[in-house]
Amino acid sequence: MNRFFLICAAALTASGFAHAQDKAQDSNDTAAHLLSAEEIAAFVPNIDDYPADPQRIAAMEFSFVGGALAAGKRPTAISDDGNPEKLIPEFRDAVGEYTSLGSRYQPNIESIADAKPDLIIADKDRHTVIKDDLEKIAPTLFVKSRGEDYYENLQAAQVIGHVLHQDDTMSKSIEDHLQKMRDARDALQGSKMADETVQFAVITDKGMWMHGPTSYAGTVISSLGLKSPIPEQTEEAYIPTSLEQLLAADPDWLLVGRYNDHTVLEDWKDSPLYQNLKAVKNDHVVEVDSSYWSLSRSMPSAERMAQDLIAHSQE
Amino acid sequence: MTRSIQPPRWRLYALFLLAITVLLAGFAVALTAYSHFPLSLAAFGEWWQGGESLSTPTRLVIDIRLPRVLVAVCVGANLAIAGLLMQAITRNPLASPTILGINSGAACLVALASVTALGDLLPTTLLQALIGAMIAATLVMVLAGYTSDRLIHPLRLILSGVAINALLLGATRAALIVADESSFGVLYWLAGSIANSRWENIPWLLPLSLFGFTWAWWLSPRLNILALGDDVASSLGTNVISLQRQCASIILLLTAASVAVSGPIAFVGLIIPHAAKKLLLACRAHSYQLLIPLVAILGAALMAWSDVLSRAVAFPAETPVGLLTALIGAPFFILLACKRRT
Repeated sequence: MNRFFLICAAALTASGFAHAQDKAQDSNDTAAHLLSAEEIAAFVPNIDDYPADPQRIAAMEFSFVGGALAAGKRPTAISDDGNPEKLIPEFRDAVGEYTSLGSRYQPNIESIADAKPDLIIADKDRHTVIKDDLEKIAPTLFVKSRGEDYYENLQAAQVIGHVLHQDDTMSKSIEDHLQKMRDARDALQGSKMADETVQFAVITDKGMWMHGPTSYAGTVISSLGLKSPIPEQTEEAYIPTSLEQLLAADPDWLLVGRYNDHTVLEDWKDSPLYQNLKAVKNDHVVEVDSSYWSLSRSMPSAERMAQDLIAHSQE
Repeated sequence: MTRSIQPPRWRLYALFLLAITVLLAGFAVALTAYSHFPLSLAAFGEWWQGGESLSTPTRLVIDIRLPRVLVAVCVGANLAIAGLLMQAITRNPLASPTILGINSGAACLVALASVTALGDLLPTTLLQALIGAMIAATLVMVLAGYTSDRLIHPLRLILSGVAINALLLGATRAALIVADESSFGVLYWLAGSIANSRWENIPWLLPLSLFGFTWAWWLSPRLNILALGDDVASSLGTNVISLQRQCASIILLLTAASVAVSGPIAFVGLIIPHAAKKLLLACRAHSYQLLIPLVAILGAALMAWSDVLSRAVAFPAETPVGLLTALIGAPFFILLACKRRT
């Protein structure tokens, strides 16, 4: 019976997301991507299975920490890969003391059970394999986190707010966030950056990965009315990028999130070809904090990204 | 009915000419095809004439495409020679350089460096892969008994390789689980890619490849004798232990250098020796003096064309070249295994 409900929920979730995406496909307004009350309810047909006022929430992804906080709830247990520094400062300050659940990739069931949660929020991509184990510990909400874009992150937040029975608080948080993003968009539209292309990429010692138009960073950038240099590359969210491909994209602005001290960018800097990039010529290669830009999808992260873009657009 | 002992020379010439033509065609196409820029071989003319500033397409061909294709052909030739030698010393047609644990060792250290302080100690992927490969291969060879002065049974080397490979694979997976954010970079590297090859790799890779090729070619008369069996080779005055050690050293040298610049590239060392042996048999020849240059040319050609395909498959995005060699090689391996059973 439970399985039947889950299948129904999954089907409704898929159709709900698809519908929401269709609805907003031609819209530049982020609000148009949000789910209606009916769509949110359809996501969680078994809402009565969840506690009415959960006090001990286990968040198994950073984006769920953001979701719970936006709903006015403080997670008491978090999968932080055993490193509290991985939480962005906004989360660390708001959460305070919490129990670490270890790796997000390989969750420790015993640690989760020891934390005695009354609600678990898990990634439907990463954690489905341990679904039965999690549900033995506490009612578990599975929503998308890994690979989500900006709009999906907001929709997941709406669902989390609904399951926490904090729809009004979440609506207000999202509205406040959207207002900040609208203000940022207006500021950016009034700057020179509005006519230029902006690209974010992660750089490591093994290569560069551009975050394409369908990635979280890519959708935040487009929601702010800024252009991508590679609008046609929607197949992959994270695009492995050689110097030749970077030259082909040739963005006006190149924002990079560094994962290592020595990266391919240092190797490329000696090349005359690298010096030919528009972003290099105009001194528009900018290092940004990868904690916000690529490691922690949440409303505070999107706001920080918007602020970064505004700060650089005024240089 | 008796066959001529002497192979018909014209067939051999035709075979080598064809192989070199395929290699050169792959080299030329890899230099110019699948780009947003109008690339052409005329870039070499412009570069030769010099001038104040070279155009972007010319710079792309000279600074990016040329080192990349050179890395591809070196890696292809190295892996093919290493595969041939591995099959020779193990007398197992399904053996490949991966048995020595070189790929697993490189992968393991690269993965561990992404999650531990090893990354500070060995700052570049190249260094991590090289040292990992050396450590793993040494372990396999010690376990197989190469440090003793006794003749080593080929099966012992294979079993040692299987054991060490399994151990390293477990350690690599554990590191990847811990790595998470940086794991996508390691996974990409594990797929084998030459997309970020640079001129800095060529001054050491090219001489090392030539050295390995020359050493292997110098051993070819003794490899011909080894093909008759250890006992026959020993009775004919060949020092089989020394020959095995030298072959293992060449395999280690060539494979470790290759895995360091391109990540683990699968199946080249398996497919090419078989293809080359079949082609030579068709020309009624089977000596290692001919096999070694032929596998080098064919290995280089396969990698050059795989590089072209890596750009073509999902243009403008790129597919790691190791995935393509695996896609080509896996069916070949299955076919080979099935044929041996029948």
